[in-house]
Amino acid sequence: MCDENVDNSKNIGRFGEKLAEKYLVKNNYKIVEKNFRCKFGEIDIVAFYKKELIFIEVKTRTNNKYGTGINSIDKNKEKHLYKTAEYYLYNKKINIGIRIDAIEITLNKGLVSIKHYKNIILDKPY
Amino acid sequence: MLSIIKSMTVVGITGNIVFVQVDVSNGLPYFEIVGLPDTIVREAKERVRIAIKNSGYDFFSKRIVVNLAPANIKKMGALFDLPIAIGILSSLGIIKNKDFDNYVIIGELSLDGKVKKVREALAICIELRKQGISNIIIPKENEDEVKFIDGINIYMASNLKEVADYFNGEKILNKVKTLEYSKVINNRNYDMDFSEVYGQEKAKRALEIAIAGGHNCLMIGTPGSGKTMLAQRVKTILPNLTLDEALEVTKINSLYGEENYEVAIERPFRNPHYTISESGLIGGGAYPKPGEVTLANSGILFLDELTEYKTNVLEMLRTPLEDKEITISRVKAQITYPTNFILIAAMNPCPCGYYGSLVKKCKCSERSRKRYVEKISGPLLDRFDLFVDVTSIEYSEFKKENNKNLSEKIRKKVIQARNLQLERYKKYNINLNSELKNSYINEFCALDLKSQDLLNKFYEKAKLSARAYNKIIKVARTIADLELKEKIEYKHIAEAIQYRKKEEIL
Repeated sequence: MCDENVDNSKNIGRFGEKLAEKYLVKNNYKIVEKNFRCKFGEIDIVAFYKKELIFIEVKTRTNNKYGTGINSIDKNKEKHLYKTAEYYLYNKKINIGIRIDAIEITLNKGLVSIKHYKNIILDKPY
Repeated sequence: MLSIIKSMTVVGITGNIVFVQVDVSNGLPYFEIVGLPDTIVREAKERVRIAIKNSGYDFFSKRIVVNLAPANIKKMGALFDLPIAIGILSSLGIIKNKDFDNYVIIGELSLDGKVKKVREALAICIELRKQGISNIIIPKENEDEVKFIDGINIYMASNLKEVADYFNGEKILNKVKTLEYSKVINNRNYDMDFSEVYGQEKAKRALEIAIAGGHNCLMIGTPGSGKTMLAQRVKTILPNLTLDEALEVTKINSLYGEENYEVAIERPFRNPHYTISESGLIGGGAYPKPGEVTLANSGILFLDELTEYKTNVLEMLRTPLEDKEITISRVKAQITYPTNFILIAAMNPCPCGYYGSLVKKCKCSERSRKRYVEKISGPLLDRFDLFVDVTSIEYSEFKKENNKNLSEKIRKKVIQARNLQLERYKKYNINLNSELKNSYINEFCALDLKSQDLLNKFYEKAKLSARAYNKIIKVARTIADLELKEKIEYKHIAEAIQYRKKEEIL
């Protein structure tokens, strides 16, 4: 039972990430990397848009009973995102404009809503 | 890219230029302010970021480092918001003009991009006037208090966008219209006059001399004879403040903690109660604030009931009286404040108050009287130039025709005498006879043989100190100035000696 639930949420997450990817491509973002992982954490999508590198965290929800997706990005999650991004930049030796965004996807009875939040982190979160 | 904007922080009463260096580079979003900022300056981060956003500029996610140089001075206040914001806009390339060299920028930002009033605006404008930096941008809300500042261009800004447009050459900022200070303060009316004090011609004359030459005056007299009344009316014979003096007075008042202040139009008259503490009189606190001696700068410090003050408090007056400045050292700062005031004090000659009176007999024993006056130490007494008896007056004095507008007459004489001194000491960086250094006394206060003889005799007889000797000469100089005489004459010295006769009481 429990495993089923975990599998289910993983599937929802993956589904959401695919939707986000489609949305980004449609908006002329160039996907650079997906699910970049390191010991600091994970970044769902790394994309390139208008001379800027954008790190995107995707949050998918089927209901908002426990708060919306964007609400669930707390200080701790910001810290992980920031550190992972830092590691990514260090690894790839990149020096261009950087942005950290979040995409919130809500799945409700076959309806999909996508919200794109830009610049969710503006300062070092720790 | 790096941009450097000038701003200023105020430490004590001196302003220090602060270079706001802003560097914006690529990388993960980051915003840090370094250079010894206090909490208010550190919080500028949020205000600046949101004010820029709400002023209609693109959101930025860059690495921003703001350095406030020199790094060793503590930066205080919200006034760095505007220079930081302008620095960021310039570094981002939104402001194309990079020439901020001739500008000092101050102002607090609110989240909607408006520029808000800052407490330090006047103090900073005064400082700039001294340092010769020609342009400053201040919040529009500060317009009223800086209207007397001449010699520099003061531009007013009401929001961030205006300032950015100004540097881009797209808009013109309005200048503060300067008013001439002397025109504004000339017509003052007091609700008191020297003529309201019956009799006491000698005391009135002594106060006239004290104000004319900047001498300290001690009034000794019976209760109810008019000492306090006389001292309060000294206000009415004080010459007008010059703009420079007014600005300094205002600056000091603003430090004392008055929130909304304007340029002072009256010379200070400080009248602290005798329960005052040491730090109340001299100044103090972890971050030293000015005390009464500094608040009385270029005005009057009046100590009523001198014998009632705590002895240790009174002794504190010694150095400020002599040096005309005081340095207060505390853990957080060491600050030097000016203390250029005229000390006027009043006291009774004994506990019952009637010693030496012709009207009523003194009831005090010699011992209790001695103990009473001994509260005031020799060194402090030595620093007074004029001692004057203010005793009870005869009934006939009430009947005398009162000379209306006496204050105005005295004031005219005082101003004349002061102008004479200003002219004479132009090259020597002093204003008044009391400030004469010993080395100048021979030059400006030559005595003829007869006066010299008189003074020498008195010196021997009264066992004067060298300081008291010089003080007599300086007072004589002032008396001569009041009569518009170029040389000190016998009668001037004789009168000056009159004000030194205190031995029978003290």
